Amino acid sequence: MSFFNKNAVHILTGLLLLVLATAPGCRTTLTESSSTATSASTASTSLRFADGVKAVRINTHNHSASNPSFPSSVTLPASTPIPTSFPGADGTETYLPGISADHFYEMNGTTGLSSKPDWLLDFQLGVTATSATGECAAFGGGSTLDPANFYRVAEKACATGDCAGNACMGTGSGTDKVFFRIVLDRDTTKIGSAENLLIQVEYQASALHLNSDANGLSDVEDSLDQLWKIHWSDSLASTATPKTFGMFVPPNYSACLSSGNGTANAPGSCPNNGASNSYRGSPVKVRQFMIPLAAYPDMKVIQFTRVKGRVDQTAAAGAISDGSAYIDDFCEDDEPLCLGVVIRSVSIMRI
Amino acid sequence: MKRNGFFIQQYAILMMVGFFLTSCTGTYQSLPPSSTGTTSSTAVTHSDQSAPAVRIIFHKDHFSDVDDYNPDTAYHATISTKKICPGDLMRTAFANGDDYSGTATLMTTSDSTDTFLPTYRPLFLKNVSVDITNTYFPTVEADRFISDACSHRGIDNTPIASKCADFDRVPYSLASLPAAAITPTPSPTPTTNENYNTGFYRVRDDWCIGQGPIVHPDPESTKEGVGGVSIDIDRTQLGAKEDLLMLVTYHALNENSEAGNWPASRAVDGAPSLTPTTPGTVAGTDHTESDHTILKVNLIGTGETLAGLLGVRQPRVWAYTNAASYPVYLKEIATLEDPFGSLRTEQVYLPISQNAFIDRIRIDRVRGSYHLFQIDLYRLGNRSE
Repeated sequence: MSFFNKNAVHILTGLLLLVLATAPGCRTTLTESSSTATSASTASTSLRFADGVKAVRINTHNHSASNPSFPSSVTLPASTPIPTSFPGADGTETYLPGISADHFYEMNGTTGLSSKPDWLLDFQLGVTATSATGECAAFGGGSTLDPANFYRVAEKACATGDCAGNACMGTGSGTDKVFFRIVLDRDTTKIGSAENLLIQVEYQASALHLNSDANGLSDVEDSLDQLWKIHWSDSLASTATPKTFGMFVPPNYSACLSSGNGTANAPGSCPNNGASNSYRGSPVKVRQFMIPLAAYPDMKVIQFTRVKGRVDQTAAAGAISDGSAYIDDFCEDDEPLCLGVVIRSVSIMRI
Repeated sequence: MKRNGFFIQQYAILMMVGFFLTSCTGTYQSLPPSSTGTTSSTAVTHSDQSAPAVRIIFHKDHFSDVDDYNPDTAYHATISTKKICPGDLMRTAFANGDDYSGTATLMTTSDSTDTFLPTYRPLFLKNVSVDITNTYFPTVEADRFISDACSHRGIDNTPIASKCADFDRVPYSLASLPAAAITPTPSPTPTTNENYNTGFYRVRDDWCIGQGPIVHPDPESTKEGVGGVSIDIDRTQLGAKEDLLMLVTYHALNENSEAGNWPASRAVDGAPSLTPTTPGTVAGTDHTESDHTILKVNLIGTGETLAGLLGVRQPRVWAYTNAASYPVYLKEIATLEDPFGSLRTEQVYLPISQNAFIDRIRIDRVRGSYHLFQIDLYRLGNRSE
């Protein structure tokens, strides 16, 4: 290779690099910025990471079972003023509390904590009755399809009794009836401004259909067997507007109808689906939900809310896909494992 | 031999230069940066740009789509927009508001002179784009749509426009569009009635033959890869040790969802009950087990500016198959796969702090049909000490 040719290669290569480096609109070189504050709470006066207990587990059953977090004897909650230390308290605003947890555990689920972590103001379960018999949201009564002592929601009963008139439909607010709710103290000495939560829910979600029976978006949620969403708010007050975070249920993990939306089963045959009579609803699942506290300093109430279900719809909309059979034909009132949700534990971790 | 090697080297360099220039001039449209856009030096000009999270609703009202460029003056007397490509995000919502099923709270309109009324968006969000295969109406003469510039109309060896990946709606305009003025008339002739009119982004697997970036004799293979989402982020607007949380609300369509969710009797204008001809499908169902939806999340580096991103022809996935130019830094960090075929929200932790060059969150469709309703992105706080 001649000297000229060598230089030509070098010049050509240099030109190529120059073009690559300066061409507009094609590629740029990224550099990392210095750290950027996420929110106002990252001001110098706040702590980005706090000390203290990092995690807690709540066993969502009552004292009739081992290692419970809830008392055996409960009084049906009624509207009450928001406690002073709770978000939204102004001395006049009221909310509908749930049953508060009174025992807390380490993540192994058996070693009790001496007290509630200081960042957890409350953990509540929304109940509609003190007994499971024929009721929507209560601790389970122990029948075959109603796990004893666990917090559960039996959908078929969620449109009658105290739930009549769509009273047990929820929006994520402090006045909802059916939910589990985490109330946080966002003081940055307790939860740092750069910290987030990981919520781990152990539960079962059983349905008639694996999916919705809907016509596109306009009613895709109306026609779900059951719909739970995760909401958050800066206040428990009835005047507060809850924010929708995401969906909790669906997915459902079992469908008592044989083929998703099928109608092969005769009314009354569900959930004992088939000759073996072996069907027992959803398996127990554990899902993790990360809650981005760092994004919103006012994220103080995290609520998993029963939004609505098929029973809340009119008879026609509540019909399953053959248009003639209804939930009544398939499930009994006390069968959350036919159609409903059973919550077995909730773990909350600061991460 | 040495001489030959030298020439090969020269040619290689020339080819690289040629390729580079082609890749810029061939796909890059000379667009001014959007008023909603960001650059590394962009400063906050509106408080909405400081939002710590964003809600993206994948509805045609929030994105541009081919009908937005309809030349029929009955619908658009004048189109004034800085956007030319269907599939780009126009309107962004606050994450601390209602979701896709209600009335989401949109960020403030940033440019009222733009037909599409784009909103502000957080500075860390550079652009969001869905693959669109329906970029022009084949029966309409070329250049009747201003979006033709970013379609593959008239380019050799490219498939005809298809509704494989598009917003699910009945094109309201086709009947009134000018008659075909091209010869020969394309085949198959597009029809109007093959949607459910939800308005949300939808990929129909059985309409995707030949639409994917893979060239292969097996038609099933040619359906793969197209119909995904690209979320481009500006890393200069995020902390060095900051990660993101992504929530994806979608509906995989398969044999569990077809019978109830998308029955022919409920479809708009009687569409499709389907007697599918696609291999592996079952007569009478739209979405079958063979089409089980699989989406994968990859974290990629493109290094592209907003103007560069907006100028790439649709379907955009075709332009990003070169792994050397667009490296996948974190591969398949999550799979979105739902055999239950139900509506659901999935969370995906995005560990972007692992690599400063990650600037694209890519949801790749491997196969299957799905509706996409919403994606939320949350900043998780700067973990730098």
